[in-house]
Amino acid sequence: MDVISPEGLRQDGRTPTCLRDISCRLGLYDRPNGSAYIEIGNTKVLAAVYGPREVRSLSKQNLDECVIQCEMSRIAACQGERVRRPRDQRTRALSLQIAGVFHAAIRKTKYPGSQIDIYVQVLQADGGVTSACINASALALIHAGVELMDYVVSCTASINKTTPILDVTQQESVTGCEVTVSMLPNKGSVVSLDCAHTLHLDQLDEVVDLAMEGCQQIYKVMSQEVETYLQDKNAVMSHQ
Amino acid sequence: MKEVPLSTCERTSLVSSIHAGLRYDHRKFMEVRDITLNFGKDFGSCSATLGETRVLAQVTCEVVEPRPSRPNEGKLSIAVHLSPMAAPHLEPGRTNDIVDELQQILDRNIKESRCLDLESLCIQAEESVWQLRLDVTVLNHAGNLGDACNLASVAALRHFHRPDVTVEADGRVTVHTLEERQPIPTFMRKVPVCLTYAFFMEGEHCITVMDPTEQEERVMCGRLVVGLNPHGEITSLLFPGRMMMEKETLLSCIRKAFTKAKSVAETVQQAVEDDLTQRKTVSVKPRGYEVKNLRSDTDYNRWLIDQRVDKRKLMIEENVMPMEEEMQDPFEANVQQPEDSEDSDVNPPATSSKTPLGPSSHKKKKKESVMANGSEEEGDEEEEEVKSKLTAEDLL
Amino acid sequence: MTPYQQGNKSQVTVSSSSSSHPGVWLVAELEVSELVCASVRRIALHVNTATTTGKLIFGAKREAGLGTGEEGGKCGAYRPWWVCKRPPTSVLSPQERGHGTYMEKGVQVASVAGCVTRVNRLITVTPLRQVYQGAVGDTVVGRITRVQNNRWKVDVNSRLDAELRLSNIQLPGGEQRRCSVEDERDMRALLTEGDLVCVEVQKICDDGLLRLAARSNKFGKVSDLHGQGSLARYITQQIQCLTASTLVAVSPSLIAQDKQRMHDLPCGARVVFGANGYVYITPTVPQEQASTYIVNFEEVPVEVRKTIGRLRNCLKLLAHHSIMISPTSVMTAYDTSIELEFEVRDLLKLDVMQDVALAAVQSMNK
Repeated sequence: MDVISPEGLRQDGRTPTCLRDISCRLGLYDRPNGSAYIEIGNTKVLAAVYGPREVRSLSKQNLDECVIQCEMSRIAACQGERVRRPRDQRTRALSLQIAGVFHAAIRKTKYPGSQIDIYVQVLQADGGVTSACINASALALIHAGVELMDYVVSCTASINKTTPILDVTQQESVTGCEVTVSMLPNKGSVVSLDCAHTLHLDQLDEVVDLAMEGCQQIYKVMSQEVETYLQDKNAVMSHQ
Repeated sequence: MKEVPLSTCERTSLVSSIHAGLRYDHRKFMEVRDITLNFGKDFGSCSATLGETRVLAQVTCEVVEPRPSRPNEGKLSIAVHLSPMAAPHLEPGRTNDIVDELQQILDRNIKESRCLDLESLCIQAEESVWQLRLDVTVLNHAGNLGDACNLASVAALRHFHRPDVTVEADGRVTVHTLEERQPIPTFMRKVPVCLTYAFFMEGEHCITVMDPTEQEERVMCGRLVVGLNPHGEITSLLFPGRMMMEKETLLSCIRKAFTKAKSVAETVQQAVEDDLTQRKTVSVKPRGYEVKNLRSDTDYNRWLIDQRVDKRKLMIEENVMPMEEEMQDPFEANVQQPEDSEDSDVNPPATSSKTPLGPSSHKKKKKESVMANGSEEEGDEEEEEVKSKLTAEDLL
Repeated sequence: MTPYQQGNKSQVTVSSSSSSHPGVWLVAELEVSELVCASVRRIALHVNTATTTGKLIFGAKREAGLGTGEEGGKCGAYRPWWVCKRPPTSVLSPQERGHGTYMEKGVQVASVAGCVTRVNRLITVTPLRQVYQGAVGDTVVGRITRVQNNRWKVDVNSRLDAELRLSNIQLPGGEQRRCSVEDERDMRALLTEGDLVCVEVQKICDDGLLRLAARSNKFGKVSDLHGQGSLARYITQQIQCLTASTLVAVSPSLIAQDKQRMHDLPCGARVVFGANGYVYITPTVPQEQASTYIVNFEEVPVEVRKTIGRLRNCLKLLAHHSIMISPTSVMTAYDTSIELEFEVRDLLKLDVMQDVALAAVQSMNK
């Protein structure tokens, strides 16, 4: 089965450089300091942020900047095959990556001695899981009012023979590679770069460029949602 | 045990020296440490050294049922073990961030890149396949574990030979021992190499350094792990954040890595081939893992003493040190008397060497053993006396 | 109902139908060079716009004005205006940085998504939700997390646990004496882990640590915060009503500014609106009982418990719909819920919460 049909369309009818439908929401829960939900096509991820708050274990306390911890978990039914363990080596590695991204983006020196915990729950995984997790976490952090250098946006891209494709699904990534790029859109700098499966060196440039373009598109959607949320809340609160 | 924190002055001096263009071990920024690969007696056992970092990889195989989704392919499982042996601050048994990352790197570079031909491991479709199990143990953590683990794993896999198998007509599978039939090598299409870059930021300026040592890893701002093979394919990329980077800097690092990867892959190939050819000349079939380059302390001391003895022997022969001979006589005279009293000679060398009678008691010991043997030549006796004296002096 | 379906959109309709605040929902993008905020009390110029993280805060013209950064905060009688984002017209000096922003290459950039407030040359961005930042003089409700040598660590919904020193509390019996070593050993007798305290923020340290005090009349302030100063009295009350009191945690930004934090509501409950978002509801104690130190372990009647439960649910629904929490709003919601004849437990349902919230806002606007 071809990833791209002779007409130039993919399995789900998208063109190679088309993003999947994105919808996101801020502020789902009252209890965590910040929460967000994002749907990128069929990939659905929930994120909650607790913090900044007092560190739980004094041994980890850093008096110069805050400690950032992330825990990612998948529900058993998130993929076609039942996931045996919600937290295994794979999710631990991804959690480290997500924490690393926010190490760069959060203004850590503003919260010395504190701890920020990011909890991510993958409800449905259909490609681009890491980038969805990062996007959801970024929204949750914005909702929590944590100071960031900039938005953090993440997108995946791949290459099919010679055509770079944007925002790959699970099926598409099985046959080819999956490059996940996270960046700060207003600054243009990359905070995370990740490649699974084989990719040729010559193709790396165009794939990364395409992913960064995808990031900018996702940024528009995310910032729109944040602004709408702000408007709604601001309207209600300052009304009193 | 908690990790010993790096003091502020160490940290500042490391970072400032890198910004000034100098690394602590005087390597160039893009220079990788020395790589040595040692193979054990068994096939598939390799110990890789990257400078001080040492990693041991062992490949074993087993006949199992294949995965239902892939009935024609063998299985490969990779397990990384990190214990306090590698570094005292690592906790035994607990899952560690470092282990997770190493596991991810190895999985991506070796398993997901499909560099190993798993179909050749199939014995009977849907019934029995070989499962290769790669166990990587970190013996010493001195920075850049990713590269070292990858080196050891790849070399071990290339070195590995699986037993030959005969499938009978009625479906029975016979696994032949290594004595019966020649084992079959695994087929590795492309050799994946892993290279790590460390980044040091100062304001806008970013310095890239290859193959960081443990200290450099502690002070670095960010890291990039690139998995490449000499064919120009990127098997894995890991830039786990912690800093903001320009896209161009990252991409240029990756491109530079390519040339380095070729030379590293060649080293691995060469080492494996050398060892295999060496094995062919040896008629004894390998069994067990022989520690070749690791030396114990006593062995090392013995070697030191042997060296000094040889040197002194040369000097004595050339009559460069007459004083030495003269000195020997008064001590010998002293030794004669205590001998009769049958003093116990259980004096630990270290303490006895502190007293002026130290060497004499040693000599006495040697003399007694010499007398016990009774068949020593004088030359040997002298040598032993000199040796014993040296032992004491050396241990001072 | 799935958690990610919200009834937020309906709120906009409610607000737009209100006629008492014309011009509030002017959401058109305007090109304005000068903004004048109609506020009688303050002559400071406020630019109250929303900005998102990473966006450049445009520098409007500098205007003369009064007020400190704290006064120029949210709420008040000014109208929010939306202004389109332009590149900065002037480069601001570092002294003009406020919270929620940072300087990069001489340009001020927002680090949170929230309201931009400008007072004089200070530009601040306040996010809608934040952990309690702390302000000296605020009354907060906190929970003791740790007992240390001569202080207690209190969780006040801030980024660090606050400190309550032994020397800063009023000892039982109203005695005025220095704390001795015995007192330090007996700290647990006064307050132990898990206890709730209603205290005042005395000082904010450099690293953001809040220092709390439980004294009254320290600076000659009139203790209009009933029972706040006397810790012992408060503890007595606490023991009495332990079985009927409850703590509700909401976002600190939802708590309305108020000089008086402790209110005796007509429904028979005393509510302490902690500035840190912790709201403590307890049945009203008759004054005579409060002045003595007799511990009363009477059974609390069901009606009282229902009142407390209803108040708690009202608070939760107000918080859920981001309505500012004040005694008025809480009482309105309470009365509305009784009017609409909802059971206490019905107030936990999302549709009921919405109805009550709408009705409460409507009646508040009248």
